[in-house]
Amino acid sequence: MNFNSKVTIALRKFFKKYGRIILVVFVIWLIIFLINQYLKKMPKQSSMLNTYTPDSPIIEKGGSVPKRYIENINLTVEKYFNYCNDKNYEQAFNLLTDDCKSYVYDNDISIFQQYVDNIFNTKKIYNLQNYSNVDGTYIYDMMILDDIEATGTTGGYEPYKEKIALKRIDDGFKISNQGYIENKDCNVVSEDENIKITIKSKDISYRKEGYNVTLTNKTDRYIVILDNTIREEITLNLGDQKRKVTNYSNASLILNPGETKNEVFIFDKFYDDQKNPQEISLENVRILENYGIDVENTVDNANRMYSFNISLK
Amino acid sequence: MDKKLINLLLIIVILILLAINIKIYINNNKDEESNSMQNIHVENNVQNIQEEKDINNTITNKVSEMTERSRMQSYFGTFIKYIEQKEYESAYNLLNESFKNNYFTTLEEFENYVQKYPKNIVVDYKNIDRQGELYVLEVEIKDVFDSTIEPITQRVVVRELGANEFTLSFQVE
Repeated sequence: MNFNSKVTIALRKFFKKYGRIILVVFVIWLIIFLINQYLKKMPKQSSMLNTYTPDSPIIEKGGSVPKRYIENINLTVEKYFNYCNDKNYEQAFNLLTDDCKSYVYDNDISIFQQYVDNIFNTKKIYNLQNYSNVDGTYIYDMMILDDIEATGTTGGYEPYKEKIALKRIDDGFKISNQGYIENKDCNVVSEDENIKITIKSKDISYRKEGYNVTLTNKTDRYIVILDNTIREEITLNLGDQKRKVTNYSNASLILNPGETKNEVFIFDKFYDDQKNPQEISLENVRILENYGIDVENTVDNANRMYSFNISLK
Repeated sequence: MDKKLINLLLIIVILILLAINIKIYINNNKDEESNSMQNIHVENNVQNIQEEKDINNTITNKVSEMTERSRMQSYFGTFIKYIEQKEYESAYNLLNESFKNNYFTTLEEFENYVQKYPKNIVVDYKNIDRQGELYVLEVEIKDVFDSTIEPITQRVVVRELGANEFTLSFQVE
């Protein structure tokens, strides 16, 4: 047997023994090679770092805007903004909630028109950022600014920011602007032998709550609720803290005999702070026989001084 | 029975792979043939375009891995580099269309305006603000060698369209 025949036989034996294994290894390698080539040719997905997440709330406690509402909310705001930009006052006004029309604009479109003319003095652009969400009310920061892409900020760069709230009404969304949220019924009545207090509702803004209060003096004497002689005269109890009334720093609240007054007690309170108002306290109700310029000290001259609490629960 | 089945499957796999390879080979040949039809000048151009594409892809990949701040600095840096290298048309092409219509309707107007920039520019990024999909950069443009030249403070608005794709406008004073 010559050398060539020996080699041929050896190769045959080798491939007979290991041929299948070699083939399997080769096939696996080929598959991996082809998959690799295919993946190389696929377009790369761009995953740039980006901090712009307009639909993620800044304050997350109240959860996110449901995905099914995002498009509708964005379209509503876009429509409202374009109406304002085009000075289409009536159509923009119609996208506001009834509460907002009433509280912010006194149901008077000319007041809304003044607001629009003041903000939209030139063509504007806007951007939205979801801020927080509370019980189906979606609060956004709305930034309104000049078309800075077209101007390059030539002539100034002063964005105007306000909070807007979107609420689902009749299968669509309506807007409350200028930080106003809604009016909520309270229907609370509290009285004693001297006074009767009725709190019909409260107007809620993002930063404050205004309680619509009716006070009746049931006596034939004077009742001093507030005259800024005592540190805390009207407070809102939030459970873990008390807030002073903010809109009487230069005013007094005195009821003449038999008199009824309609007042608004405004307190600082963030809409999304998750605190529940417990009661409003008239901390130092003073009952006086006489009241006038000659009675300076309503504390010393009071026949009776006591605290009157109105439960809000 | 099992052995026969395995052999059959192996043969099928080999045939499929063979077919794929033949297809790839034919496709490559087609490309080569079409390339050989063109003259050398065109061939060089194709090669240059390919090289340019590769460079662009590398830059795009690098940019996409940057932070927002670095990307904005890179974009404005590109714009300034064009001005520094007197590639005014390339810089002009980066401008937002409405901005061009408002301030620089012709390339010449833009060219005249940027003459006020120093020759050897260094950019100091003072602030970067975000307005939705727009970025507002506050920059100070200085001459790297001549400190007697008064620095130019400008706001620049950048819109990012994709990795290394952007338009910009700037405060015209």
